[in-house]
Amino acid sequence: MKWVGLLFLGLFSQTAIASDAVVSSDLLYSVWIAVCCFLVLFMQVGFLLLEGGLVRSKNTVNVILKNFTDVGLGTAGYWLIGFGLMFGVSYGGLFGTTSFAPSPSNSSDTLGLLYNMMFAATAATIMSGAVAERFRFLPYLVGAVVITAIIYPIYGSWVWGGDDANPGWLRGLGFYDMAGATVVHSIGGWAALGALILIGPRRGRFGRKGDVHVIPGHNLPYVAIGGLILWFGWFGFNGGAAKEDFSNLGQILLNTHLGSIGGICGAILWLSINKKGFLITSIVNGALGGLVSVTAGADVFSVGSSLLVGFIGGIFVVVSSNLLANFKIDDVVGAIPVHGFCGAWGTLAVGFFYQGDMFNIERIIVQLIGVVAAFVWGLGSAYAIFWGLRKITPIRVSSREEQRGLDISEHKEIGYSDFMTTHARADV
Amino acid sequence: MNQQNAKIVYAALTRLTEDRGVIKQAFDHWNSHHGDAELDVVGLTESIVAFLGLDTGEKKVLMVSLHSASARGAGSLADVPSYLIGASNDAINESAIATVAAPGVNKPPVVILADAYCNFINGALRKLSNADREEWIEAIRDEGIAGVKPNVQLALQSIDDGLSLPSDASEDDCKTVCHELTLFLSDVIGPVKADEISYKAIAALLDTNEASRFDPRELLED
Repeated sequence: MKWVGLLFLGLFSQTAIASDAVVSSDLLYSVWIAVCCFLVLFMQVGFLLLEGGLVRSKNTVNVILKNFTDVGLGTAGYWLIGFGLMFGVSYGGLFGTTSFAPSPSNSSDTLGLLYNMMFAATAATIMSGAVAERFRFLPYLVGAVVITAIIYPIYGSWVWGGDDANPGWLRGLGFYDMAGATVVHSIGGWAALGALILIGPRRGRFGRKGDVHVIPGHNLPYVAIGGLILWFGWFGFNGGAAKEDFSNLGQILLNTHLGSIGGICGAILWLSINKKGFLITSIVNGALGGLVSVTAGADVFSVGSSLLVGFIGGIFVVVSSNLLANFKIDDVVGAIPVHGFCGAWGTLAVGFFYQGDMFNIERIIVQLIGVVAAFVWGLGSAYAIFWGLRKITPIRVSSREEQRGLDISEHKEIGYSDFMTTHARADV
Repeated sequence: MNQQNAKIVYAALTRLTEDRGVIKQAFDHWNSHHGDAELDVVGLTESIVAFLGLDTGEKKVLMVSLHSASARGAGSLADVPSYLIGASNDAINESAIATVAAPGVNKPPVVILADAYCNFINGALRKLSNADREEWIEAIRDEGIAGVKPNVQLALQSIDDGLSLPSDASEDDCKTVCHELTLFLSDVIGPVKADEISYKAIAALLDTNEASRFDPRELLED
């Protein structure tokens, strides 16, 4: 944050000299986007702690390292290929064909590129938690790069790509997704679902007679800290979509916050009705579900709508987690409920609660088309890629490696070597 | 088998539990591994604790009972019932399982430890839930374990009475059996409880004499 402060000071002093102490709107906007870049990058810390806390201690190093490395490699893939596919000159509204490995000439475009790279990293990292505790490290990284370089940008080009004359096909239909509830979150969630269907549940998660075994995370305080960091970072994730004159920034930030509050309330209500106890994982995920839900329309929702959309998102998180378990889909951190289902719900909610034009059937249908397209593309492409990858190399660790924990079998390290209860040895 | 020691062991085991199945398992274990040796109360206690998966309180009872029985002398102790001795002799006589832990046959440490590991799980499950134990045994019998020798497979069929792998079981066989039985355990009671029992078993095995000749942690490694 010191860096951000210095940037602010430097930019402001430069402006004072250049234009008689009048801060230009362009400059302020650039600084704001830079801050948003840092906030979105900081969300990775949130993901890292949330996912690290939700796995068993024998897999901590693995999931944290996956989060750490996919930011670097994923954003590199996005810079090299993804940005061009997403924002290059559109080929029939399907994908971009120019601007690969971009090298922008001005600061504003550079910041735009960096901001989009941070978004791409978010799409990739969603999968890491879902497939935790059994997915091999290197195949995961390959998958993360493919998601950020190809799967996410192609869908992104449909929604945000092209120009007015030659827009992405969903954009042309009038599909609206302010900051990526579907483009980033649902695509990440559905890609994770594709990987999960292919890789199967952790051994022992579902019993031989169909019973579901709870596998609690090893550090629930990490989960809450990670959740709060994500909440904090979300102001940058959504706030970066503000207009250049900041006329809607306050609305976006307030609605973002209200979405989270709604999500918490929804999760608490559902948990209390079902008398399951006020589970920290469900409530934190409820807050995140609320945040994802308002991401598509934080600039077009009223405050009341934001609260309601987040509230329903919070309920969706808890309900859909149980639904997945019934289908024997083992999503370790609840990534699919939070990102997949809530992203879809929030995007549809734009059709229901668009301020001044609520329940417009035409908009609802267009939003629905976008949601379905994301599901088909995200799930199908990820499934195909991991299926192909599995033909080349095993993507799942062996049962013995899974039993011993991925920290030892993949990294030869133990997360808590001083006090961890394990028979695993780091020196083998 | 040393008849005097057999009486001492039997007396101590009856103080520990009334469950004839457990007594039989522990008695056979003693007979297989220590039957011809001099009575070493501490060593035998550790061995039975690891074999049955006893907790600290039960370990104390066993050790005190062994001391007490050995101090009383064989003359004042009850005879060993026929169901214990008979079972052991049966094991020797049945040619089909002649290599399955026949009493007096020296087993390599890895086999002894694998037996103890699996029996620890069996004992722990017995305490946890009989239904879970039955499901675990059923899974082992139904699904079997691929990639091990036929006589190892055969030994698994009688796991209900305590596992006794053949003395010619290879290290790989032992590792495969321990790993697969842990996975079955994970399927039955969930991976968290399974890990807990597995950790405890390995910790108990680390205290045995055999651990100095074969590291029990290797049982669950590649």
